[in-house]
Amino acid sequence: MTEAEIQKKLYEDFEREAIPHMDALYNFAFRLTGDSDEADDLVQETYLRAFRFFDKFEQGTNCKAWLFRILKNTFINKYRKDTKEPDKVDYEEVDNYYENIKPSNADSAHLEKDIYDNLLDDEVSEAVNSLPEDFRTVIILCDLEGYTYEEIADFIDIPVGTVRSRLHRARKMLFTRLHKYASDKGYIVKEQK
Amino acid sequence: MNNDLITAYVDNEISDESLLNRIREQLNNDNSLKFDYNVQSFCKRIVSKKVKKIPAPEYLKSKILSEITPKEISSKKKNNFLLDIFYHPTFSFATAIVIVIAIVLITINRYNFNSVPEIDITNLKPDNMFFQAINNYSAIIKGQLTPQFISDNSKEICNYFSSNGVNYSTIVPEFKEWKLLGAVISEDKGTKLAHHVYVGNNNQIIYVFQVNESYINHFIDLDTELVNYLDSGNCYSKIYNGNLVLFSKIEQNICAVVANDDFNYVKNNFCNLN
Repeated sequence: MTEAEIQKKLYEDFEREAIPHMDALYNFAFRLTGDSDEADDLVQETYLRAFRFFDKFEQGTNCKAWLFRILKNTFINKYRKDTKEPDKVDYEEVDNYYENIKPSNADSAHLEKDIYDNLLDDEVSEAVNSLPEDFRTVIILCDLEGYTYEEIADFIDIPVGTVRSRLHRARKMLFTRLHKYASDKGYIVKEQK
Repeated sequence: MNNDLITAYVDNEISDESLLNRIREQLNNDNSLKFDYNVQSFCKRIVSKKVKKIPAPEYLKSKILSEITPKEISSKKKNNFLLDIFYHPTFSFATAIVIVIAIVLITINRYNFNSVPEIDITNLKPDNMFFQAINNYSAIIKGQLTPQFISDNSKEICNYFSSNGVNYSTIVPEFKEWKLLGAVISEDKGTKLAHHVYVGNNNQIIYVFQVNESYINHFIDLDTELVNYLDSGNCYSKIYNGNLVLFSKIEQNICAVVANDDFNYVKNNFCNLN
């Protein structure tokens, strides 16, 4: 094979294996960065890196997981470096709030309905975007993209048990934010707080 | 019981039957656990229903594909696509073309060359330059049409055109705000035609299709009123699908420009080149 033929084959393999995952990667990048321009740059950088190292990629293995890992690492190395460290969470505060809601809401169906019916799509998106990065990541990958714990563990390189516990906390955190927001807006009556 | 297990239960991640039964039993007796279960399943539901997935924009796909395409790659797929787009049997449209030309010739005597021609986009035929310009642009945005030759150098692009069968002089201006991305050569009725693409700082895509004026209505069609309007030194523009479609005569070439950048900026760039 000539060099040109090798390049052509590499390009065709990449187009077939990697390009179809671009929508999922973009959505993830957008949720990570919260900005469409940064998401554009992040996805572009990810694909250019992936293409550069595509000859090292083992055909037949999980290309999507490989791309997600590149994207996450690119994000950590480049986009997060100059801005901030991963957000610190006062989880105790979240827990206290959560435990305060709990006793009066053993049957939470009406509470969920109040929140669900009243909150707009954008308000829910905003609540998700406001979660600390690690928690936001698992929520997006699990609840929005529908990946299994094993896939998520593979994508972001953490143990399956960590995915589970992070998800548990992430949802509690999301719920307290939605609850607070709905209370402030008056969607939930005071006695339920 | 570890509270995380209720999360795994909600996500269908537990396969052990005995553990599943234990969780179900406890859910019936433990209100606190029931609350956790409801919260976990509620959050899962609300995120999947109310948070929208955002797909990658078409220009980004197109840009990434252009960046990684090896120079002068001539994949069969792309050639077929170009053939599909640019090659159409002449005879099936011959009658329609004759009628269109006849109508144009009848009306041309009454026509004021400085009044803006009305173009009915819905009735354009595939042999029409306007039709091809808007379709090619749409294909570029969708990532279906990528440059055959990648270069950000106008001389290289002009050389590419001339050394690959484009038999007329081409103009590939460079602009401060846009970077040249590359070029495509199409074939219509056995004649090679030149196309090139720019990308803006914010990923705007600007596509230019240029044809020597002597080719118009021989190798490719264009409304005669429009050609006369351009010949009189005017620049024609129309908004179509949110993009600017602009026609301008630059030296001896009729140029069709389709862009999603600031309309005034595009007009200033292409209407003042002579």
